[in-house]
Amino acid sequence: MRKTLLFSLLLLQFSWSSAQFSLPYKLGSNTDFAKLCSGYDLKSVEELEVLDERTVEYAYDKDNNLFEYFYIHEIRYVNSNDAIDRSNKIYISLARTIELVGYDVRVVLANGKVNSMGEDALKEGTNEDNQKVNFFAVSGAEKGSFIEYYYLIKRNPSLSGTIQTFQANAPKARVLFKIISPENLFFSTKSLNGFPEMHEDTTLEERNMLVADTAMVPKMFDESFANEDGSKQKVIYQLYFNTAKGKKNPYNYGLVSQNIYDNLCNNVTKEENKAIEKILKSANIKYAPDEETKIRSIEGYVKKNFNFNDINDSRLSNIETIVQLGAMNENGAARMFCLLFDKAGIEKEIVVTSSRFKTPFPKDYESYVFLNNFLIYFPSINKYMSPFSQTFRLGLVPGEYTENYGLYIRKVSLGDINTGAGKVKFIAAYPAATTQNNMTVKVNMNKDFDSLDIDLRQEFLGYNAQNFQPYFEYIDKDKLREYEENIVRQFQKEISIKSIKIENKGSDNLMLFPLIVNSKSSSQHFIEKAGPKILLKFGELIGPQSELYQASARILPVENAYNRTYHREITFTIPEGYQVKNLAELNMKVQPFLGKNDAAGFTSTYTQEGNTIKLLCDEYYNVIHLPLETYESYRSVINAAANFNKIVLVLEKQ
Amino acid sequence: MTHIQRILLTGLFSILFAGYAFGQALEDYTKYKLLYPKEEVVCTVFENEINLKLKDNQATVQYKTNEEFFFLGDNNSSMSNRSIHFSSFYKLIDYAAYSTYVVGNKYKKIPVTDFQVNDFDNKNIFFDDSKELKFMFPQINRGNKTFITNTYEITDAHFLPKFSLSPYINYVNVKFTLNVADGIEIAIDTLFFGGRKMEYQLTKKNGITTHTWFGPSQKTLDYEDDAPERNHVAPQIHVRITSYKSNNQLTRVLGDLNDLYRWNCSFLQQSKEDISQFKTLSDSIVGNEIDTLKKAALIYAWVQNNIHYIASEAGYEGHIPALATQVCKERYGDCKGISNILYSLLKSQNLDAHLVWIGTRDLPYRYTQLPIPSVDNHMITALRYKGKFIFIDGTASNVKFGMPSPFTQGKEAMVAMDDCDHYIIDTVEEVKSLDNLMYDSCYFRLQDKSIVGSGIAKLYGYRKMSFIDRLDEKNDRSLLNLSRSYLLKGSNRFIIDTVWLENQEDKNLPLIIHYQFSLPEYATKIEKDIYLNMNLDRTFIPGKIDTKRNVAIEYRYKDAGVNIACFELPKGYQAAYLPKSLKSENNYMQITCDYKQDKNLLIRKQTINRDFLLIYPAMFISYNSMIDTMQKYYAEQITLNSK
Repeated sequence: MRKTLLFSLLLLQFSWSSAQFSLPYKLGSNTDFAKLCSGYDLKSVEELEVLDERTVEYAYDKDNNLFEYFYIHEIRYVNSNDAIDRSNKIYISLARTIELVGYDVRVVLANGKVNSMGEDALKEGTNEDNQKVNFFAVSGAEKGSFIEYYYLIKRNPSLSGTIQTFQANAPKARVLFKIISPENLFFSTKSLNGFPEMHEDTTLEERNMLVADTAMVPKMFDESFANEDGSKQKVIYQLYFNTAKGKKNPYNYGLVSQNIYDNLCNNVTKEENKAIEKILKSANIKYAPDEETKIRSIEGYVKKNFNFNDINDSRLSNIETIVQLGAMNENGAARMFCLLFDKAGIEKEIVVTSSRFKTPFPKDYESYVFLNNFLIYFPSINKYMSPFSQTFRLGLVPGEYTENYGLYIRKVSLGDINTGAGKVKFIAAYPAATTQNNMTVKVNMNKDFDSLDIDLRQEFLGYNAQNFQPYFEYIDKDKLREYEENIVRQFQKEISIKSIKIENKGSDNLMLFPLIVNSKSSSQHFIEKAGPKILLKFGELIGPQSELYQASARILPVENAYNRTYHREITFTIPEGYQVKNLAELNMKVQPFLGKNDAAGFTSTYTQEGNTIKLLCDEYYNVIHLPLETYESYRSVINAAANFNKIVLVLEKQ
Repeated sequence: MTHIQRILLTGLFSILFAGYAFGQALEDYTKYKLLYPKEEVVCTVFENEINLKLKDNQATVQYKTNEEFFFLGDNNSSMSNRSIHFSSFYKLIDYAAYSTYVVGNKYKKIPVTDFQVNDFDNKNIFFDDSKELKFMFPQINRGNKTFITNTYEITDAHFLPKFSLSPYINYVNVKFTLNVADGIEIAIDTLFFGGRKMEYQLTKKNGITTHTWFGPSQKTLDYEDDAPERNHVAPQIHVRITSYKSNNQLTRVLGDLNDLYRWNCSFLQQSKEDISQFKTLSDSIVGNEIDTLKKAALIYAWVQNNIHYIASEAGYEGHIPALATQVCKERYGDCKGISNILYSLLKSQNLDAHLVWIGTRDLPYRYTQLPIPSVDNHMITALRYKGKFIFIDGTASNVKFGMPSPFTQGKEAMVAMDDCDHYIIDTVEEVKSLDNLMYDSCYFRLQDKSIVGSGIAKLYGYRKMSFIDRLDEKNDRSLLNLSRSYLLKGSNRFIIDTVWLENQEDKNLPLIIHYQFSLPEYATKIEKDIYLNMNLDRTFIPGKIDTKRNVAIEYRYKDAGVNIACFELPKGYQAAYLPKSLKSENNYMQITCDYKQDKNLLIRKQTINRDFLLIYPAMFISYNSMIDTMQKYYAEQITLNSK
């Protein structure tokens, strides 16, 4: 029954005969795909995308309405069961789609036999984001097969900016991308991360065509301290000029700055105004001593009293319905805060940006594809807030939006009319001192020399505090103790905790006061024995450290989520009658960037007074981006801390 | 931006913001807060009703649900986005959802108006017809309430819903109602109630017999990782129609296991094919092999290598196996389709093959206890050899022939015979720990304070399966990372320099991992002494279990390990101290460790045997004490001093 429904909906008047296409959209007659794989030894390759061909064609119908046809044609070589499993379900996103115009799927077996699936391959469903999707269930693929398919969809045109990403989890032998448009439409493009620039091709009559054709796009690997998605080869394109009407570069940031300003700050209805006044009253800013306190009170009240729901429902972006439903989405949160700050007379700028872990916001290419997430900037105190990040507070916004450019929109008044003017500026990352993880550890051995008594003070600031501090408000009450213990166990899992005392819990304290966790515990974990000698795993007293020991050829440069420091003070009393001979190992200094930008470093030094050893240890990461050439130096710092972890002090009787 | 398919229930909720509902909001809040001081939310009303009637000589099933939640805390965002599920067997006839929030001391009602249809994201099923209506509850703050009521028509009298309570929730009022019209005979089975008591009432009026279970129900468990599925711990009442009589004609439904088998078997009849057409293919697979088991192993490996698992379970497709010819052509199938091609290929070689229904370990039910369709959720194939069944799961692509899939261990299987009157119930055995052995032997020496060495590891049974399952990309980087996670020694400084595999393709031989490794700066050297911890595998000691936990921990399989470390003494050094031997055991876990010296070699051998699939709370203390013993023992280092 499902099938019947499916085909009646989608099978498809092949209406493309009536459209004015420039290229044939169907599978070719040649199936000798091995020829296209020169440079690859197909016997040893597990998976290869032999061809990734995409064409976006803009065309007018007979009523002069513009549509976009998106054609994708892929040939995948699969040479393992896992590769087949990854390729035998091919999803087609039908977002924006008006019609699936045509498709075909076939499998070419190693022996050259061709198995065409045609209409049977298509299935229908919806994905998690509620988008309707169709997919091909590819049948008959064996090891050494080529899976080839194409589909062509007709959809409403996207002119204001689109990203096509070409780098993926399998290497690609050839990528071919074309943008075809009627004579009067010209597109601008920007290629990123080594994808070739698109060039004009004049082989089509009465049409404009931009083409990029490239070979051997490598597989993208997972790497630690890297920005995988942001580093993929991709192209951004958008309409640059319609010679029939309008100006060049219509999707610049001038007009959109006004629109965003209007959407967030203007056209306030009477009901909205009433709701805003009521919230402002509840936020209780009357006695706030300064602007910063006012901002924090408003922010805290809204973030604690509404639910934040990331769904595309217009009711969640209108203040009146937000108040009725008790919930808002990102647009709603931005409007809510803008109106509240305006009403409270607080000067602000709207900042619109994108996550640099998806596609960093470029300084020199204007496109709506980067206008995704809102921040609010307060020039008088030079601080940012993130309206939709419920567990962040003024002075700290998610790291993905920092060390990135953004469109700053400030209010411009022309008589009684307020509007917005935009400018691209840099959103600097917070310095390392903002995000600290500090520990003061006092340890003593018990009488039996088989356990340590540990007096621990952990101090968290910035992003480290944000990981814990706000969540005291969200954890179920009967899970709170476990939550607190888990914070203490960041230091070491194998401890028995005797007491915990925590200062500055809750989001109200975030960025004002550090989260301080004082605890007392004991642990056998740190002590090993070799006959009569006691081996103290002193290095582990700085807590577990990340490592980059296993070496593989590094591909991506280093990119950190945020800058940070770690400070450790450890005091240990050597038991009466014992001595330690290898204390010198505790002195370490790895600062490969010293004298340059001091991007990262690790130092530790100890002092001894009588039986008491005091260790000071510092680790810091001052820079978000490091070039590939300096990877080994960066790795040496990460590993220095992990190496310190391995230091064992030998205690022997005097 | 996107085309979202929406169903707007314009008729049902014409008034967007309806008037005030009367109530005593503050009194409610105080009452529930007193009863459940630590809870964020309680279920104040939970009602399920099954109505069984006769219509047009058929038994009809109507199912109604009604729930009300009361919010006592502010952290309810997880209760905001909810959904109502339905499918072609569970037709949704009527539904409604609304919240109430407090104004003054009264409740004000806001109906949910925006429902979105979505295919239910049933993780392992590629294409089925389960659907869900997604919606968002507004105003779920402290003191507020949410309501959902649904009515379903169940289109097949075999698929009665169960009455079930979550042990993770507090219920104030539970009411299960079963209305049975005269002429319909039923059976009721009650599971996992433990000490929990519910009131029960039986009444009869106007030709309807009414069974009612009611009362409160307390939360007894906390959510924990690796806990058995909810069905293993949830109190539940299963109702089945055994038969019904209409116009003096008796129709059997699920009176006993024979009825269930006949019903199951009727689906097999719809995918029967001429077996002889598979002979050419199976001949080419088995070649000249004449041994029954070897033939079967070859056929199993062929299916594992060539037929890919893609589930497709729309309507009765969830019960009728796809034709084996179709699966063979398409090279993919769901569990029934894959079982069918495996069965057909085995049969075509005149092997005694059978199709088998089975419930995976997620389901706690036994055929012999509960003859209903929800007792199983999976299909496999069995080969009868010398009077015994060998269970073969075509969906488990890296399991060796002769072993069941890990998720069917210990389960009852319903083995189909050649007609719809005969079947055999047999039990799939739990694979013994020693069959899933990982043997790892390494040889190493010191270079200054660093270790360099080489080793060989052999992975048997499910240990091999797990490794190959995880090696989904066959490049050096993936192999290196995965091998490192299996072989990690000493500390995270462990580096694999080279690694290569043997027997990766042959599913019936153990996987052999050859490796060379180094462990920089591992030993401690002070003056004339060297200290070194030879318990290189101590990185794999699990942590202790929190004894406050009250739910069992489930493991995929039992396993065993043998670790041998041979250390070549540096020239001029002798062993000054070797730890004593260790032997520690309880009735489900054993561990031994020995050190010995053979000329200039120090050899440490450890064996460990984990003979359990579940650890119950009653076992936590003995388990922890074993871990404690191991941790203490592994803290012992050897000492070498110069001669």
